[in-house]
Formats: sequence, structure tokens, C-alpha cells
Amino acid sequence: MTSPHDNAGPRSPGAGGTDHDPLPFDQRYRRALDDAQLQRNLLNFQRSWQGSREGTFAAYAENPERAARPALPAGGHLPPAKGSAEFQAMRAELAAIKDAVIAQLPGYIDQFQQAAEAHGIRVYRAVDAAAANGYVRDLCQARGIRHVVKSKTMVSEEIELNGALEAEGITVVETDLGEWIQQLAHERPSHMVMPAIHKSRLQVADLLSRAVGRPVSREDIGAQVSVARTELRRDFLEAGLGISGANALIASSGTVMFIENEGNARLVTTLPRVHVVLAGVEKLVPDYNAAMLQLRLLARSATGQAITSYTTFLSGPPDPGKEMHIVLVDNGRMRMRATPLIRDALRCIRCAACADVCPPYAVVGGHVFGHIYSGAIGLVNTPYHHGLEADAGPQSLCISCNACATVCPVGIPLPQQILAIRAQVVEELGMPAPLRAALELWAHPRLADVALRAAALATAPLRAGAFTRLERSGATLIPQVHRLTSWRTPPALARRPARDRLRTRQAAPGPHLDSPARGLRVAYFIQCLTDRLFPRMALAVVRVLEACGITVVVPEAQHCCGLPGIDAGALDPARAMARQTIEGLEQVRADYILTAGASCAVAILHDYERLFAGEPLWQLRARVLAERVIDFTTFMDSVARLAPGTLARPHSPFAPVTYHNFCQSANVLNLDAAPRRLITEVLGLELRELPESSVCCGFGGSTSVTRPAVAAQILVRKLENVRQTGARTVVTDNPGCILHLRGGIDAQKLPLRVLHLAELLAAHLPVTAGPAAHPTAVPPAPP
Amino acid sequence: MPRYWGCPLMAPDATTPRDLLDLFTRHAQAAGAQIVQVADVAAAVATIATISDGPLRCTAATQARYPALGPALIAAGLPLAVAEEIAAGLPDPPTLAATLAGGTGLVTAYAGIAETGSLVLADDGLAPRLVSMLPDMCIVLLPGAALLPALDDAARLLIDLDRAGHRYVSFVTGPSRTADIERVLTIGVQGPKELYIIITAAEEGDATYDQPTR
Repeated sequence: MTSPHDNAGPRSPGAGGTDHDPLPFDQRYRRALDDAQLQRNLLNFQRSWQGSREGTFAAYAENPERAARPALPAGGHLPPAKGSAEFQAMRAELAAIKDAVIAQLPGYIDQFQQAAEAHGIRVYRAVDAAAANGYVRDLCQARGIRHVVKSKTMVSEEIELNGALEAEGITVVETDLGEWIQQLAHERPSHMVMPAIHKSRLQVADLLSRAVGRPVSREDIGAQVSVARTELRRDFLEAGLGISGANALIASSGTVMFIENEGNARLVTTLPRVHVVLAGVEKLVPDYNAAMLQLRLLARSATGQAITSYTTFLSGPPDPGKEMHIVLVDNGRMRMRATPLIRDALRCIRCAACADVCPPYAVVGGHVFGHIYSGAIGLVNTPYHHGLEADAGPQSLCISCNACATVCPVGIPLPQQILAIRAQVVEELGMPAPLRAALELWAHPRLADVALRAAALATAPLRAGAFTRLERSGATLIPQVHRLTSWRTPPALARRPARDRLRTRQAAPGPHLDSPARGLRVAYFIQCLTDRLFPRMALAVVRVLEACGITVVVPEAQHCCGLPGIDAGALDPARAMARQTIEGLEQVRADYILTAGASCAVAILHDYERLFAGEPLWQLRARVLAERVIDFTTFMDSVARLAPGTLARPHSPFAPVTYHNFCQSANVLNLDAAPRRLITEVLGLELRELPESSVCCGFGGSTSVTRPAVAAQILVRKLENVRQTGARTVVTDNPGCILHLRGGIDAQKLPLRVLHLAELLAAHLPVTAGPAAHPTAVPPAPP
Repeated sequence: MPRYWGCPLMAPDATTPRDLLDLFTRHAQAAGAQIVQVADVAAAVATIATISDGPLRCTAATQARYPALGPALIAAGLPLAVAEEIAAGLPDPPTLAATLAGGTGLVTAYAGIAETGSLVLADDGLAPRLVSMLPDMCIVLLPGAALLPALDDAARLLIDLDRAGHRYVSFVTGPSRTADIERVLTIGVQGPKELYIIITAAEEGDATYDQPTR
């Protein structure tokens, strides 16, 4: 029987250590996509985590007295708030505290160091990974230490400490169960809090059996856990050095706070004679009170617990003869601090909630969705710790759904930061030539118009209903084309774009529905996909508005808001399109500028400001425009305000319906109740609540083009949820989702309709309202 | 800048000792701890005699705080060894750790935190600390008068303990656990598999947190 810890001497480097030279991104990506087990494991994990987290925060919201607490303003950016008032207030407060620390970071570091040194702790400031590793290595050599035990520290992963020590013949043993499993598998942690969460119990059993040389139960997780208790005890006793991480560094007292559930960190920091703490400088908090606030948010966000089993405050060598060192690691953090927008990422408390709600993470896991740090935060900090190239692949997987921003307990504007990193990748490392060419073309409205009309003509023979049947051309025999289209039937390019049809339409004669919006003048921003792919959707929008007695004007000079460029990180074309949009719309005389593309509303309302950072005049124009911009759903719910039952019919061919909450509608515009009110009250339809309604459908802007396999997997999850509702119609408010869902439903041949909320409303207008009712405003359900 | 948060889970009128105790009990039980309230030393002894398993060791601080406990336990046929005394006869920490592993550890908490159901342990010195880390079962004596409403109150206690020279302070909430495999909760990884909290009447062991000793 051999155990990995039986050997008295040093193990061979890497024997139990990490794979220090992981596969290139593309290989990791393809391997993950082929791993159906991985996807099952991760989806199960995300779903169970979500339930626990919501439970612990809900318990906080029970006290009505505390819900009204006003939030402190954060120093940096704070995304729109979601969740209970209690969560929001705590989030804002901790963000403000962390911002204040980041602003005065050198001072806090000094204060911490003085306090720690006064307690006999040796503090070393490591400027980079090499310095940090060198300090620990030299310490081992000076003390004759050959055997090291570690508790969880992501900083040690960041600086790749294990490899540095193993190269010197020093044995390093991870004692956190998940980390130990990963060490036995020669893998990096795939998740910051749950390092082996991508593995099933069967996979763990096989690893443990091989490591201990005897069979370990493949079913009984308890038996697997007890293997760690038995096997690791000897390491705790024999090790000369314990290495731990830190969850917070308390400046006022020079105290290291660390939290854990297993008790291994208490042993790592107690048994070996020498103890080294590795901590990033962003871990500083001013005092114990701030640490308590962090505790409240951290355990809930990390593991869905109110508090972990052990929270330890270590303020110096606790026993005679004990030696304690703290290595304060910069390794790019001061560069982050000096970078606007990115500096907010230094608030991070490493809870990994951003990974736990991320749809692409659930498809590929943390070895692909990240470099060493995984999840959304990993896409943001990797360039600063490991270089931009290490992030080129991972960042391309973000679908900008903003789910991470809704759960981040310190309100880091992760989606915006990732787009900034993407733009940097595009600028410094380039982007795929076809995508760039397409965006350049798209940025020229007249050229794009000519190209699209030509394409519509060229593909006319392949058009069948709302779709393009590429198989008729033989194009699907080309693997690349097949890869893009087999799971999502491409839509048909309209013979006549919406703009042409709207130009020649007759305004509605009335009578009108009873709406306080009657008499308003609304300019309609069609949205480019709607214009070219779904002209009937545009007609439906206009019919609904006119039925409310609204005068609809369609500005001629409109094309695309620039979102495709923003999504792809191609900021020059994005700015060009945004300028065109501002110029085309700002002169329009109208009470509102309405779009039924919720993503465009998000772009204009939230992205333009950042897009024009450094161009104050354009920022101002964007802000002025944004004051009049409104999305269709909000307009119908809060401006048109049709009375309940206004459009109710005894029998609707569409019922029951389910509502797919476009991720940015839900996460950025906070549109949860509004669309449901329109469906259940104004239309009086039966709404079957869609599980994971606001989880992205997978369209994800450029991701479904650049990473079709990920988009396809996320779509599978969405359609499975839809199927569970038993609804006949899926309703949503974003044309991108509609393209994606319709294509997927056609490819899977599901008996489902997908409608824009405007189409659903239009289909229920009384025949006397608006111009002659077009039954064709609703696409036919597939056979 | 940080403001006092109070205890978010406490109803606005929950300020009586009874409320604190109920809240503490609820949260500690939710974390997997077992709670026993005792009126006197005899009841504590009876409880320990019932639940303890294997060799019973305590810290010197526990012995000092509950002087009647040791003789009563011995009288009940439960020899209570003091960790510091065991350590004095052993050559090195690994030997001590190997000796203290398994069995039952008996320690005293400085305070309990109602908001989270946590115990505040502040044992300096290797031997007393290992008594709460290495046994299979940990029994913690908690003076009933030492309940704090919220984590913010614990922050004040931490400052006091810090000033008094304590270097290793822990909040212990339930037994050791993990969910690292398939997010399935499993109790007892490296720390104790069972955590019992014996809440002693206010007058018993009334050395509360405001009189920390080193």
C-alpha cells in the first residue's frame, strides 16, 4: 500500500502537485465541451448554490426595521441594485468601505504592517510572484523545512507557489479537501471556493483510491471525506511550515482573519512551528467592524451559509517559539488600482458568487472560464496577474448577461470591466478578421443597407417562412457553417425591411384604447435585427402604440445603436454607430424615443456613457438622449398603463404563455414585474413561470458567433426549462433572444411559438383598434 | 466610518436574556451544534458523563473557571485530564497532537453570538487550542451571561481580547464540515465531528468576556 505521503524524503516535483503547464486555451475549451459530466456537475452545483444563497439572504430580510437603512455612497461604480434591501444596503456599505481603503491603500498597508510587527509578525511586501515565492523558498531553506502543509490560498495559486517549492524538492500538501482532490488530479482549482466542484463523487473516488492504494467508496461521500481526515493527519504533524491565506487583513490591529468549514486551516496555522500567511494587498479592511460586515456577506455569497464553521482572528505568533510571517502580495494590484473602472475589482472578497450564476461557466467550468482566477472576476484580474494573453480565450466566453453583477456582494461592475478587457484584447491582440470586417461594414449604414438588401435577394431561394434553409444550398456541408447553424436555424432576411414597410403604412384611424399616453408623440427606433429580420415585429410595435392613440414617427436616419461593436470589443465601430444614433435621434421632435430592442435601450442608457469616456461632449449628448429613451416594456407598463383586462380575450390561441426575462432586462433594467403585469393583467393570459427565467438564453451578443458551442449549450438549458412549463408560447422583449430561441426551437422541431411582447399585445388588439388587423403579425407555429 | 449594524435577525423587541438565548440556540442548532442548558455543576457533570466519548481532556482555563467540575467528574468515574499538564510530559508538539487526537475535548467559550450561533474561543498556547481542534467530539461550556446579540458586539470583544494579549481567537459555529464534493454536506473533516454546547447558569463560571485572562 502506498500513500502519497509515505515517502520520508521529498516527492518528485509535480508528483502530487499542480499541472504547471496547462493545455492551451483552445484545447481546454474543446475538452470541456466534450465533457457532458462536467456540465451536469456544474449545473447541479449552480442550482443548489442559488437556493442556499437566497435562503440566507432572505433570512436577513425578515426584520422590517432594518430594510429601510439608507446606503452609503460607494466611491467607485456600483451596478444597479438587485436582491433584498438588506443585501443591497450591506453591499453598498462594504463597497464604500473597500473603496475608501483602496483610495488610501499605501497608508492602510503601513498601518497594518506596524500593528502586525508590534505583535511579532514578520511582514514582507512582495512586488510580484517571483519575490513572494522567493521569500517562502528562502525561509524553507533557512529553517531546513522539507515538508509544507497548506490551507486554501488563492494567492498561492496566483503566484504558483507549489511549483516553486516542489522545484526545490520541498513536499507541499494541500489540506483543504477540494484543494487536495485537485492536487491529486494534478489540476488547478476550477472554482475559488469549491476547487473540485466540477468533479462527481465517482471521479473523486477514483482519484482517492489511486492515491491511497485501496478502494474508496464510489457512492458514500462521507467515506471519501474520512479518507482526507485519516491521510492528512500525518502531514499536519510532520510539516515544518504551514501556509494559509487570509480573508481579511485588519489594519487597526494587524490581525489576519480567515474563514473555513473543515478545520484544516486551524491546524495549518497551529501545528507547524513556522506559519506563513499569503495575502493580496486588497484584503485590507480598516477594523473589526468592517471585518464583521464582510463576514456577513462573504459566507452567504460563497457557500450560502450564514457563517462558516470557523472564523479565526490571528494577531501574532500565538505560542512560544512559534514564528509567523505575512507576505503581502502586489503582483499587479497597484496597476489595477491605477486603472479606472478596473480598480473597483480590488473590492473583491473572493466569494466566487460571480462564477455561481454564470451561464457559460456552467458549460465549460473554471479551467476554461478563467485562467487561475475563474469566474467573472478572473476575466477581470487575469491580465494584471498573468498577462493579457492568458485572458484572450477566457474573456471571449462572457455573454454580458450581467448575472454576476446582481450577486456580487461588493458591487463590482464586472460586466463593464470584462467589456473593457475585451476591448483591450481586441486592440492589442486583434480579433477574427471576418468579425472585424463585418463590424466595419456594419458601421457604415449605407454600405450595410446595400449589402443586406443584396444578401436578402441572394438568399431568397433558401427562404422558407421565417427561416433560411441553408441545407438547400449545400452550405451546411461546410463544417464551419454546420457548426454555426445545425443547432439554430438562421432567420430569413426580410424581402422588405421594416423601415420600408413603415414608410408606406397608414396611420391608425381609431377608436383608441383608453390610455393616458394618448396624444403623445413617440419616435420609434426600430433596432437593426428587427428591421432586417423581423419586420412584422416592428409593425406590431407601431400598431400597439397607435392603438393607444400615440403618434408614431420613424426617424429616417437610424441604423444600429452600436451594441454589436461594444459586445465584440470593437470600440471604434461601436463609437461610430453610437454617434450616428445620437445624431439621428437627438433632433427628433418626440416625447419619447422608444425601442423594442431591450438590449439597445441598455446600450443607450448604460453603455454610451462609458463608451464616450474621455469625450465629454459626446457623453453629454448621450446623456441628453438617454433622458428620452425608453424600452417598449417599460413604456407599456408605466406610460401607456392600459387597464387590467383591456386586451383580454376569452380564448387566446397563445395561452398558456411563459416569459423569458431577457437577462439584461432583468439584471440591468430591473424589469421583472412589468412584463408579467402586461401578460397577466392587461392581456389576462395564463402565465406559467419559467424556471431560471432571467438566466441568459445564450445569444450573448457576439458570443453565439464566436463561441457557438457555448451558446448552443446555454440554449439547451433554456429550452429544457421552457419545456417544463408546458407553455405554448414563449414571450420576451429582446430581438436577439427571439432570433436565438426561434432558431433553436426550429432546429429542435419543438411545438412552440416565440413572440415579442409587442407581437403578443398586437395579436390581442381589438379588430377596430389600429389599422386593419394583420393576423400575419404573428408568425405561424411550426408544424 | 463603519456603523453599528446591530443584530439583523433579531426582532426589534428581542433584547431580553431569554430572547438572546433562544436566538443563539436556534442558530447554533441550525449550524449542527447540540445545546444543553444546565442549572448547576451536577447537571453539567451528568451531561458530560452521558455524551462524552473516549478520553476526556480539558483546558487549564476551563478548570480554573469551573473548579468544581474536575472533582465532580472524577467522582463520577470520568477522569478529566488537563491538556497543559499532558503537554508538560511530552517531548514535542507532534507527540502532543497525536496524544490529543480523538476522544472528547472540553473547553470554555468567552462568549456566544446570538446572531450566528457562534462560540468565541480564545485559547492561547498549543495544548489548549488543540483540545478544541483534534478530538472527535468537542464540548464547550458557555456561561449563560456571556451571550452577545450580534457580530458587531463580537467586534468589541475582539478588540478587548486583542488588548489583553490574546493572539488566536476563533468563532466556532457548529462542527467541522465540508461540501467540497458535489456540494453535499458532510460533517467532520479535520475538526470535531460533534459539537456540544453546555450553557451554564449565569452564576456558574461567571468570568465573562470583560475579564479576559491570559
